[in-house]
Amino acid sequence: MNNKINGKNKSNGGNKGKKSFYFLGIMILIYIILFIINGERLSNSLLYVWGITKEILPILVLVYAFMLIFMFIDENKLKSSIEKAPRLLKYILMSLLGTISHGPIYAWYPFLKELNKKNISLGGIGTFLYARGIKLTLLPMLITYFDFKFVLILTVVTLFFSIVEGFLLDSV
Amino acid sequence: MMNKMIKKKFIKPLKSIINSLPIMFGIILLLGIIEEYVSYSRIAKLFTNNIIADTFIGSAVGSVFAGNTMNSYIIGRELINANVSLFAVTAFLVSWVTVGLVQLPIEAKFFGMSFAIKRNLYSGLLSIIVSLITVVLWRTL
Repeated sequence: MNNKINGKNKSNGGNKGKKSFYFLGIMILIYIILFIINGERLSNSLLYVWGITKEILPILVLVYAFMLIFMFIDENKLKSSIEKAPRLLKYILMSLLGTISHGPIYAWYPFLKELNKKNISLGGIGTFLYARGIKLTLLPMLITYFDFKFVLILTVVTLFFSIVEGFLLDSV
Repeated sequence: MMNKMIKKKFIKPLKSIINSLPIMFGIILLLGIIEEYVSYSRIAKLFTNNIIADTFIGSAVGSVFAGNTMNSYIIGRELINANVSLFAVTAFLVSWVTVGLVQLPIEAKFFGMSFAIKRNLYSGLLSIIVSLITVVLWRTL
C-alpha cells in the first residue's frame, strides 16, 4: 500500500518536473520568435533577465542556508513547538520573517515548502507572502515619492492585513 | 551511517532548489518580456476618474503587472501626477507586491493550485481594503 502511494507520488513529481520544463521550453520558444522579429528589442529583455538572474543567485544561497538550518533542527521538537504555539503568534512570526526577507518571491518558495512540511500552515505561508509587500530596503524611496506619514500608515496596515490573510487562508 | 545522514541533510535542500530552477527561470524570462514589451505610460489611460471603479482597476492592474517594485513607485507617482486618485494608486502599489499572477504557475507547483488561486484572490481583495484604510487614515490623522 505504502509502495503504491510512494509510486504515485513519484509519478506526480515526475509530471510536475516535466511541466516545469514545458513552461521553460515555451518561454525559450517565444524568445526565439521575438529574436527573429526584432532581435535588438529582445536584447533589452535579455539584459533585464541577466540582471534578475544576478540578483537571484545570492538569494538562493541564503535560502539554501535557511533550509539547511531547518534540516538540522529536530523536526519532531519543532513540530510540537509549532503545534503548541498560539495561532496569532505563528502569524506574527511569519509576518516578521516575510518583512525581513528580500529578493524575488519565487526564490523563497522552496524554503516555505520546507516550513509547510514542518507544520507551518498554508495560512502562515500566505502571511509571509503578503508581508513581503513591505520592502524595508525601498522605504526611503517610497517616502521620497509619497510622504512619510502615508508610508508609515501603509506599512502598519499592510503588516496587519498580512495576519488577516493568514486567518482567511486557514479558515475560509 | 552518520556521515550518510549528514550528507543527505546537505543534499535534500539543494535538490529542492535545483528542481525549482526551470520554472523559476521561465518566470524570469516572462518578466523580461513584460518589462520590454508592455508600455507603462499607457496604464494611466485605463483609469476612469471614478474613485470606486479606479480603486478596483488599480488593484487589477497591479495584480497583472510584475517586476521590480521600484517601477511600481515610479508608475504610482506618474499616476498621481496624471490625477488618478490616491485610493487607486495605493491599491495598485499594494497589489503589485502582494498579488503575483505571473508567478501563479510556480506558486501552484509548490503549494497547489487551490492555494495559489485563493491566496492571490484574497490578496487582490485585501489590497482594496488596505488602500481604503490607508488613505482614510492618512487624511484624517
